[in-house]
Amino acid sequence: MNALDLLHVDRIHGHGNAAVHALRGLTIHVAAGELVAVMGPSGSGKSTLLNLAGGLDRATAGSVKVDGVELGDLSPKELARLRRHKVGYVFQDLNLIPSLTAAENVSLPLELDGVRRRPARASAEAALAEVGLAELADRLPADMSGGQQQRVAIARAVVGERSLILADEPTGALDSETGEQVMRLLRDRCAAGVATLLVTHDAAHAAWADRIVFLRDGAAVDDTGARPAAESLLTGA
Amino acid sequence: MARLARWRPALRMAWRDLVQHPLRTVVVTVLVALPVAVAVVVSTVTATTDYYSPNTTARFLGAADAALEVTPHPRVRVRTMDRGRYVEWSAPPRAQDVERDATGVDVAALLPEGSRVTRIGDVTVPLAIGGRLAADVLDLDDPLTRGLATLESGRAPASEDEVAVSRLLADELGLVDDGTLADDAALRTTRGDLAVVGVLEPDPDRFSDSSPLVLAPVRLDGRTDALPSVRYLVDLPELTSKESRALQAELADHGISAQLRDATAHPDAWGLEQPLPSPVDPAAVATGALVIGLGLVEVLVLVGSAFAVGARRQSRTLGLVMASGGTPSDVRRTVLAQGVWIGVGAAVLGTGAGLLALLVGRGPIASLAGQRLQDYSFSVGTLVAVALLGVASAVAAAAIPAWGVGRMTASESLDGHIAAGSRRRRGGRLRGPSLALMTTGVVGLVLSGWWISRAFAPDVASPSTMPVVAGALSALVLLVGVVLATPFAVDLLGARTDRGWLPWRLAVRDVARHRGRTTAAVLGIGIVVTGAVFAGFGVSANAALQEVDEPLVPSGTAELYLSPGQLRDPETLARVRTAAAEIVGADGIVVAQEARLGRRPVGDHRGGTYQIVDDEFLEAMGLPDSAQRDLADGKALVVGPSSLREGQVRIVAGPRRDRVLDERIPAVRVRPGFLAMPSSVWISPETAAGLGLRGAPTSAFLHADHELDRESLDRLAFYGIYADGDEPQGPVDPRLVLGGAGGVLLATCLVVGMIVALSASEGRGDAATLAAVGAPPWTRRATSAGQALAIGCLGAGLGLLLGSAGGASLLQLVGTPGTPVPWAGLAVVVVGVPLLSTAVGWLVTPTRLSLTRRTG
Repeated sequence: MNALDLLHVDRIHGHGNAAVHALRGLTIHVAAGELVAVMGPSGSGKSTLLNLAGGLDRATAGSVKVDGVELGDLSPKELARLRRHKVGYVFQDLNLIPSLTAAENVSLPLELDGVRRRPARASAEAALAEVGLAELADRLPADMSGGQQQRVAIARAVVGERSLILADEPTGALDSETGEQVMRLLRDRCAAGVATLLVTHDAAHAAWADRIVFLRDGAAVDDTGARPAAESLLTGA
Repeated sequence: MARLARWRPALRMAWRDLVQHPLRTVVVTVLVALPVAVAVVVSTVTATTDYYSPNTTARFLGAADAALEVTPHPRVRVRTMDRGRYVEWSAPPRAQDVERDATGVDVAALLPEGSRVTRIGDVTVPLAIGGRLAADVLDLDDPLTRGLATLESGRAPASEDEVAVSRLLADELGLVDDGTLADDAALRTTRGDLAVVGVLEPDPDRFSDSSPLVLAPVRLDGRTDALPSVRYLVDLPELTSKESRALQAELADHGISAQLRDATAHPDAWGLEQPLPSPVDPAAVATGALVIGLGLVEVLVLVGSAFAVGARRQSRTLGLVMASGGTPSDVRRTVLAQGVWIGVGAAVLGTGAGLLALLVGRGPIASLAGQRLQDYSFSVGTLVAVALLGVASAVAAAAIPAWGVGRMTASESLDGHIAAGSRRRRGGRLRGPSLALMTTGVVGLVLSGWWISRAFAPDVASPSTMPVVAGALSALVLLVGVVLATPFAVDLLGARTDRGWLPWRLAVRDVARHRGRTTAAVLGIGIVVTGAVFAGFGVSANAALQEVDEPLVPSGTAELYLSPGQLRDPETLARVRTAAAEIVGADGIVVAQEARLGRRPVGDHRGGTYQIVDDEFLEAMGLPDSAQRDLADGKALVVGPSSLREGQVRIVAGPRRDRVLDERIPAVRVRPGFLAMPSSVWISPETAAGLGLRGAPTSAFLHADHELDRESLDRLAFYGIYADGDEPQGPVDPRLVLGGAGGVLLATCLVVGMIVALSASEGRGDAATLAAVGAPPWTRRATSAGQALAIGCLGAGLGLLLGSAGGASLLQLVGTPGTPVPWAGLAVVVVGVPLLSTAVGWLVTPTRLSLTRRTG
C-alpha cells in the first residue's frame, strides 16, 4: 500500500470564465520510505498538489488516498485527525507558531489530539533529539535561526509516527549548507520509512529524491520513474 | 477531559500572544473591565443604599441591636411594620389615662442579662439669631451610636454646654481655622453659648444634615417636662428571632416600644416578609435592558474589532494549527482563548477597580448616593455574576472573529489573507427581514408613543407601564433591523464608485469591500451617536419643561418653615428678618394669615381657605398693581376659578346646618403664577375686620430683590432658618443632564477615535501597496481619511435615526409642549462626527510605510 496515491486528480478554482485549472488529471504514487520531488514553474500546481495530499483542499475530481484512506470521503474533522496522525507539513518559512516554544510547536499535533502534556512533551523532546535540537526545546522561534526553525518543523512533521511528510520548498529560505542539512534530515526520515513529497525549485535538492515529477499547467509532464536498484547499474541491465 | 485538553495549546498561544502585544492587551482589557468596575460600584451602592439594607438600618439603629422608647404609659401595644423599619405603638384604653415619669423606668432590669443601654434623644436648639436647629443627643464615644453620627475632629461633647457641629455648619459659621477648630468656637443660643468641641463628618443626605448638632446625653438629665418618651439604644446578648419577639412583647407589657434589628435581618421569622412594592418594574426593566443592550453591543463592537484585527494578524498561525491537524473548532478556540484570558483579566481588574473605587471614593459616592455609607453591603453572588458577565462579554466579543476564522480554509490562512467580499451574496437573504424589522420598529415606536401619551395623561391616576415596555421593545426591534440593514447601506455606498476623485473612489470601494469590519465600525459609532442624540433630546425636553413649569413661589421669594409659635412671635420674626437680611440680603418677610371667626376657620364652601394679606404681601409676591387696587376696593382675590361665581365669592364658617357666617363678597380672579397657597381666597385686613374676622399667621415668605437660590437657602438652614424657594421642577436635574451629555460627547470622541484607528490599522496593507506604486503620503492619508469619512457619515446617520426615534419617544413620554428638537446638537453631531472620524483617519495613517507592511 502506498503512503500517497493521487489518481486522475483535477482541481479547478473559481467558476465560469474565472475558472482556473490548477491540476489536470494528475496521477502520482508515493511509496512508504520514498522521497519524491515535485518541480515545475510558478503556477504549475505544486502547492495545490501538497494541499490536496494533506487534505487542506479537496479535489474537484479524481481520488486522493493517504495510506489507502480516500480523503474525499472524510469529513473536515476526520481530515484534521488524519493530519494529526499521518501527515506532517514543512513550509518554506514561517513554519512555527511564534508564541510557542520549539517543544510546544512539536507537541502541538499531539496536544490537539488530546494527549496529556507530559507524554506529549516527551514525544516532542524525542523528535527534537532526532533532528539534533534537544537543547533548544524551550526556545521561542524568534530566538532560533532559520535552519533551526526548519529542523523543528521537520520534528513536528514526524512526531507521533507520521507516514507522510509534505514539504513545500523547505530549503527555500535557507543558505545552501543549512539546506543540505535539512535535506539530509528528510532523507533520514525516509530511510526510517516515512514517505516524503518535496516541492522544490532547486535541482540540487531534487537530486536527493528517489524520483522527480515535473509539473506544468497542472499536469505531470515528466516522471523520472523509480530509481533503479544499485545492482542493475552494475550489471547494466 | 480530552476536549478540555484541546483548550491547552489554544490558551497557551493566546496568553503568549497577549503578552507579546501588551498595549493592545491593556486597551482591550480596560475596555471590558470598565463596565465591570461600573457594575461592581453600582450594584454595591444600590445594595448598600437600598431601603432595606443594613446601611439604612444603621441610620436609625446605629450599631445597636434595638432601639427602645419608654412611653409614659404603663402598657402599650406594639406593631412592627415595613420589614422592621418602623415600630408603631399605641396605648390600650385602660393605659391611656395613666401616665408616669418615663425617666424613672429601670430599663436595664427588664432586659436580658448582659444587655447594655445608652440613652439618646433629639431636641431643638433655639439660636440667638432667630432660627432653631435640630440636634441629636448622643454619646459619640459609645460604639452603639456608630452610624448615627461620626466625629471627624475634636472630641465628643461631654457637658451640658458643649456641642459637636457638622463640618458644613462649622465652615459656614467660621468655626474652623486652617482645618482646626478654633479655641473659642461657640454656638450662640437664646439660653447662652454652647462651646463647640467637635466636628462631625458631613452627611451627604441634606435632609439629615438639617440636624447638624450633637449634644451630650447629660443634656437630657433631669428633663421630663418636654420629653414624654425616653429613648435608648441597646446592645443585647445573642438572641434568636423567637426570643427577640418575646422580648418585644415583654417590654410592651411594661410600656416600652422596642424596635429590634433582628426584625430587619429576619423579617420572615417575624412574619413581616412581604412582597416589596413593585419588585419588578417592567418599564424600568425594559428601558434598562435596552440601555444595557446598547452598551453591551458597543463593548462587543469595540472589543470584537480589536479581536478581529488580532485574528487577521494571526492568520498564518491559525493556518499552521490547521496544517498540524487542528480542526475548525481548534482554530476557533485559539481566538476564543484570547477572549477567555482578556475576560478573566478584565473581570479581576474590573472587580478590583470597582472595589478600590468604593474604598477610595466613599465620600463622593456617598454624596452621589445622598446617604452616609457606613458599611458596604457586598453581595458575593452579585460580584461573581458581574465578573462572569465580564468574562462572557469578552468571550462573546471574540466569538464573532472566532466564527469567521473557523470558516477560513487552511490555504487562506496559510496565505495570510482573508478573502474580502467573497461571501457578500450570503447576506442578501437578510435584506427583506431587516427592512421588515426596521418598519416594524418605527411603526411600533410611533404607536407606543401615542399609547404613552394616552397612558400618562394628567387625568390618569395610575398609568400603566406597558406602553413604555412596548416602546422599548419597538426600539429593540428597530435596532436589530438597523444592525442587519447596515451592510446593505454599505453596499449602496460602494455601488457608485466608478468616477470621482481617486482617494475617495478607493476609500469608498474599500469600505464596501470590507463590509464586515465597516459594519462593525458603523455600528460602534452609530451607538454612541444614538446616545449623544438621545441626550440632546433629553436636554431640550428638560429646557422646554422648565419654561412652562410653574414655580412654587415667585422668583426672589422663599417660603419660610416656621412653627405657629414662631409665626405669632413678633420678636422671633424680627430676629429672622434681621438674620436673613444679614445672611442672604433678604429685604423682609411678609406673612399670610388664615382668616378665622373666633376660633373657627372660614372657607369658601369648596375647601378653599381665606387668607388675610396686605399690599406688601402682594407686592412681594409680584402681583400687579391692579390686584392691590382690587384689594383696596374691598374685593377678594380668588386663586383658582372654582370659588368664583358671577363676580362674587362665598365666605362661610361653621357646620353646614348651623352657619355662623355665610356672606358673599365681590371678588376677582388672580393668577399669581406660583403654586404656593393654592385654592385660597385673599382678602385685605380691612375687609376681614369688616366681617369680624381675625388672622392667624400660617405662612411667611422671605423676599429679596435678587434670586434666592438653593445655595442661599442652604446657608439660611445652617442658622436654623429653613425655607424653600423656586427650585427647578423639571423631571431631570439639568446638571445631571448636562453632565451626562458631556460624558456622552467624551465617549463619542473616544469611541470614534478608537474605531477609526482600528479600522485604519487594518488598511495598512492597502496603504503600503499604494506606497509601492508611488502614491505620495498625502494620497494615502486622503484615502484613509476618506474611509473614515464614509464610516463616520454612515455611523452618524445611523445614530441620528436611532437617537431621533428614541428622542421622539422621550418627548412624548415626558409630555413636552410642542416638539423641542435639539437642532443645534443634531447639527453638531451630523457635522462633527464625520469630521472627527476624518481627522482621526488622517492622523493615524503614517507618512512612512514600507511595502513589508503588506504582510500585516
